[in-house]
Amino acid sequence: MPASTKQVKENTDSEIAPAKGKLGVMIPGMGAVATTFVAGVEAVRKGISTPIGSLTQMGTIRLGKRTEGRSPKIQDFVPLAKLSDLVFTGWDIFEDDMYAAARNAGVLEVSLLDQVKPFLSKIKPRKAVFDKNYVKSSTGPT
Amino acid sequence: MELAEQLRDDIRDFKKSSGAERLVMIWCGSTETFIKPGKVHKSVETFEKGLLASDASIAPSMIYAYAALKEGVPFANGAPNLTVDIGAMLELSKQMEAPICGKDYKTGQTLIKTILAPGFKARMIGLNGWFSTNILGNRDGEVLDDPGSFKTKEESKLSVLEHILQPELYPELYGHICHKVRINYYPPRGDNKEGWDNIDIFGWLGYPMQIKVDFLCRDSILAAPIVLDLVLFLDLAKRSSELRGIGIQEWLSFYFKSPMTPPGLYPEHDLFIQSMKLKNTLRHLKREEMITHLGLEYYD
Repeated sequence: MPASTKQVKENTDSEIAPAKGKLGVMIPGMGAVATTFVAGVEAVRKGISTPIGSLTQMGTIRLGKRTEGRSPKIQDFVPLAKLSDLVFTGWDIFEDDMYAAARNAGVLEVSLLDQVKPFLSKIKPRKAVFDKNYVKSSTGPT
Repeated sequence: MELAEQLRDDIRDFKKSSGAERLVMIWCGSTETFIKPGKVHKSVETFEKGLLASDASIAPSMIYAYAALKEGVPFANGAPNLTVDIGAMLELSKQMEAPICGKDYKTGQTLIKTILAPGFKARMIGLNGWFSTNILGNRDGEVLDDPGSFKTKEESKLSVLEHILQPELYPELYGHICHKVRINYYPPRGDNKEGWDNIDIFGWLGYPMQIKVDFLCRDSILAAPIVLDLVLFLDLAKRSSELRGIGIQEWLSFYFKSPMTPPGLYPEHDLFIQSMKLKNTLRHLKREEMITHLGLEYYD
């Protein structure tokens, strides 16, 4: 347990350690969803796009009575990791880096992907644990 | 067991090389073929024996989850796979104070279902049929062309209406629902799937009406923000003294097609109940008042 946990006040029974340092995100399966997620996070970090659909980035939470007018953003209310703290890795049966995988998935436009290419192409998949009996139609390299 | 060790090495290696203070693992892989929980899944002990014997009923996703939990890393299950929905993982999650949640990201057609169905029920409008059909051309669609994988997905999709509409409480309204779900692999569409819903409802004195929904949906565009939120919230849960040791994070049901619950407790599928549950959990963590929407105090 990090030492910081102990610094939180003792008079409450719910302690939340601060979100210090980097948060590593590990993703088994670097296909369409994973690449759209990671490319999106980088695009938002670079200020070229907006995290629409994300409660943690855009959502607010009403507190107290309606007359109090307190509706902070969720990310200002509870201590969440910042997008700038996220680092990524993943596993896949394919050997493409995240840029190639994103191009292959065809979800995001090439013009957007190219703006985050240096970041994406650095993320290479680790060797996946995979059993063909469990995923029938997916054909990875043998 | 060798595979699990390899993954645990990967986890430690990534932590070291990236300089990360904390880790989260989130499944974005394929739907696996349907399996039922068996003996080997019961406890950590039986599961570890199974790993050593390379038991065929241990799916690859379970090995990832096992490796993560063993390292104290929270795990989110984005597919309808059994993965962490077994006794062994529940036990390990609590033991290692590594929160788990699942399963199957609530995107597309099921999202629409859990938005519409609570509205019908709130107004006591009857429903006798819901036919859903999809065409999609991504890897997900390809995998789901396999009957075994589709069965996993189908189980995840079908239970939603029943849990929201509660036919046992409203037999006249929801006692005879014909609910069908079809998924067709159709490569030209790529990730841009199209889902059609035909909904047969009935109102006052039993008069029938129909609703047609044609959703030109982008699955990954709907899934990506879910992945982001789950990563951040699971990390929050891991840092919370109150949440880290409880295992299943039911307050994250909002994001899933078949939310995990402890044995014996039915899941909440209604998107608005799920949203309230999530926000009230955050209020509770920060010792803020729950919002009940009673509001009589404004009329004193």
